[in-house]
Amino acid sequence: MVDYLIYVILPQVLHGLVWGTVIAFIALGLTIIFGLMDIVNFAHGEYYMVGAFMGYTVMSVIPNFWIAVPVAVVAVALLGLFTEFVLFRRLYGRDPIFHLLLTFGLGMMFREAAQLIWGADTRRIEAPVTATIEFIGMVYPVYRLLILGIGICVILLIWYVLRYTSVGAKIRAVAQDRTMAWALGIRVPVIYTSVFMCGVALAGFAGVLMSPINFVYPTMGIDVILRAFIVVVIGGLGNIMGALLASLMIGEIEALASIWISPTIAETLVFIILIITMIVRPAGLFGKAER
Amino acid sequence: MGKLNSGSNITRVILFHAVVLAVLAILPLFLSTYHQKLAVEAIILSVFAMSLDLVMGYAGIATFGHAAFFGIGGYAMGVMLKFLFPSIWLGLILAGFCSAVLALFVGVVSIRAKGIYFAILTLAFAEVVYRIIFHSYNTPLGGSDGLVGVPTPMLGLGPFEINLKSTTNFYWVAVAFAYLSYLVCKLIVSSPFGSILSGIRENENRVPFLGFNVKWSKVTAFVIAGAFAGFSGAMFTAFKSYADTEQLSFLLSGKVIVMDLIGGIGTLIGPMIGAVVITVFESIISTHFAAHNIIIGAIFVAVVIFMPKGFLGLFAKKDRNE
Repeated sequence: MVDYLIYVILPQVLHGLVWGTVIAFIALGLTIIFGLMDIVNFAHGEYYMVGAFMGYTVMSVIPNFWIAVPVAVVAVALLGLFTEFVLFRRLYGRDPIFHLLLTFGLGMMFREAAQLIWGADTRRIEAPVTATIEFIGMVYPVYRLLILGIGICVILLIWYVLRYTSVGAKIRAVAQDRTMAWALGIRVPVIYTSVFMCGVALAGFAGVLMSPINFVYPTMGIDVILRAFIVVVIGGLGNIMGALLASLMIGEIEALASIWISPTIAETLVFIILIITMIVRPAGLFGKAER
Repeated sequence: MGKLNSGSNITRVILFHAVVLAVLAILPLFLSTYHQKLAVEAIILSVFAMSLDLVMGYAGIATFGHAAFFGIGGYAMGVMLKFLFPSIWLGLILAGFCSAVLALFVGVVSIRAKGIYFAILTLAFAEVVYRIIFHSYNTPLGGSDGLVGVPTPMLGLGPFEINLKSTTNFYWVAVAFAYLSYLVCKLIVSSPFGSILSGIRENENRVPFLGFNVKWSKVTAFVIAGAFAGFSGAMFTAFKSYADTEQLSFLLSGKVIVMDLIGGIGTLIGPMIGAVVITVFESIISTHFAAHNIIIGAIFVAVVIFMPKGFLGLFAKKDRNE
C-alpha cells in the first residue's frame, strides 16, 4: 500500500503538478488577455509551438539550453508584438466571436508556416539537466522539478506585478474600465500591446521549457490550447486565480486518471469535466454568476 | 427586400429558381470528372454551411462545434451502408436522427451559456465526439483510420434506380438534395418560428414578453441545424465512400463559420455560395501551392477584419443593443 503510494501515486502527482504549471502558463496568458482586451486567442497554442521551435533552432546552432530559453521567449514576444500591431488592434471592441475566428485563421497560418520552415517531423530537445533525485525511495528527474520551481516563481512574479506595482495597477484599471483609465491618462494601447506581448511570451516560455519533455511538432499547440481553454472557462474567463486553480486541478486529474485508465481516455475526461462544470455553473467554477 | 412584396414577384422568383436549377443541371456536361467531383463536394458542403446559418444567422448564436453533427451524420451513413442495410434513404434517416439527438443533448446542456461561453462549450462537445471516435481503434468505426470502404448503393426512387457510382448522376442528386434542403430551410425561416428566431437574435430579452420560450426555440433551431448538418455529412460519406475524423475536427467547424461569413449570414443562400467559393478556391490553390493553409488562414483573417459591416452587421447590431 505504501509502496503503491510512493512508486505509483506520488510520481503522478508530481507529473500532474508540472503539467498543471505548464497549462497555467498558457491559461494565464489567455485569461489575462481576455480579461483586459476581450480577445479569445485561439492561436495562443501556436505561440507555444513557435517558442518550442525557436528553442530547437537555437539549440541546433548553439547547444546551450539556457541561451535558447531567453532567445525563444524574446522571439515569441516580438512575434506577439507584430501580430498585435498588424491584426488584433483592428478588432478591439468587437464581439469576441470575431477574435475567435481571426485567431483561428492565424493559428492555421502559423501551423502551416512552421511545417514549411521546420518540417512535419517530431523533434526533441536534449534536457539540460539529466540528473535524478531520490526522495523516500522514489526517483524523479530534476528537470521536471526545475520546471515546477520556475513555474511557481513566474506565477508569483505575475501576481506581484499585477497586485503591487504601478504597472499592475494600470493594467487592472484598464481591465475594469478602459474609457475611465484613458481619461485618467493611462495609455491604453501601450498597455494592450505590452500585455499581449507578455501573454504570448509566457506561452513561448512554456513551449521551450516543455520541449525536452514533450515532442516538438507543428500541431503541438492544438492539444495544449484546448486544455488551456477548458481551464480558462472552468476558472471563469478573465479570472486569474480561477485559471490557476483550474490548471492544477486539470493537471492532477489527468495525471492521476491515467494511472487507472488509458491516457487518451484521461484526456477526454478533461472535456467531460468541462461540460459538467458548465452545466452546474455556466460562468465557471470560480467565476461570478451572470448578471 | 423585394421578396416581401408578394404577387407578381412570385412568378419572377419561380423563374429565377428554374434558371438557376437549369444552369446547375447542365453544368456537369462542361466539366471534367475531377471538377465534377469538386462540384459535388462543394454542393454538399453548401448544405452544411446553410445549416449553420439557421443557428448563427437567424437565432444569432455562434457555435464552434458544428462539424460534430456533420461528422456524426457521415459516420451514421457509413455504418448503415457498410454494416446494416445498403440504402441511401435509411442512411439519411439514421444520420438525421443521430445528429438531431446529439444536437438536442448539446443544445439542452449548453444553451444556458451565453456568447463566447456557448461557442467554447460546443467546441468542447465536438472535441469529445472527435476524441471518442479518434480513439475507437478496435471498433468498426476504425479510429483514426476512419471508416473506409463504404459501398455506394443504388438510389431507389420509386420504380427508378439511380446509379450513384457515376459522378454525373451523383452531381444531379446532390443538386436536388441541396435545393430541397434550401426550400425546407427557407420554409422554416419564413414561418412564425423563423420570426421568433430573428426576434431572439435582435433582442433576446423581449421575446419572453411576447409569450415565446427563448430556450426551447433556440434548442429547436439547434436541433434542426444539427439534423441538416447530419444529412449533408451523410451525403458526403456516401459520395466519398469513407467517413473519417477530419469531418469531425474543429478545423471544419471553424471553416464553416468562415464560409457563412463570406457569404453573408442570415440569408441562407449566402452561406451556400460561401461554401462553394471556399471549396473551389481551396482546391485551386492546393494544386498550385503545397502550403495552401497559409493562404486559407490569411483569407480567414482578412474576412474577419475587412468584411463589410453589412455581412457582420447582425453581430455588430447586437453589440450596440447591449
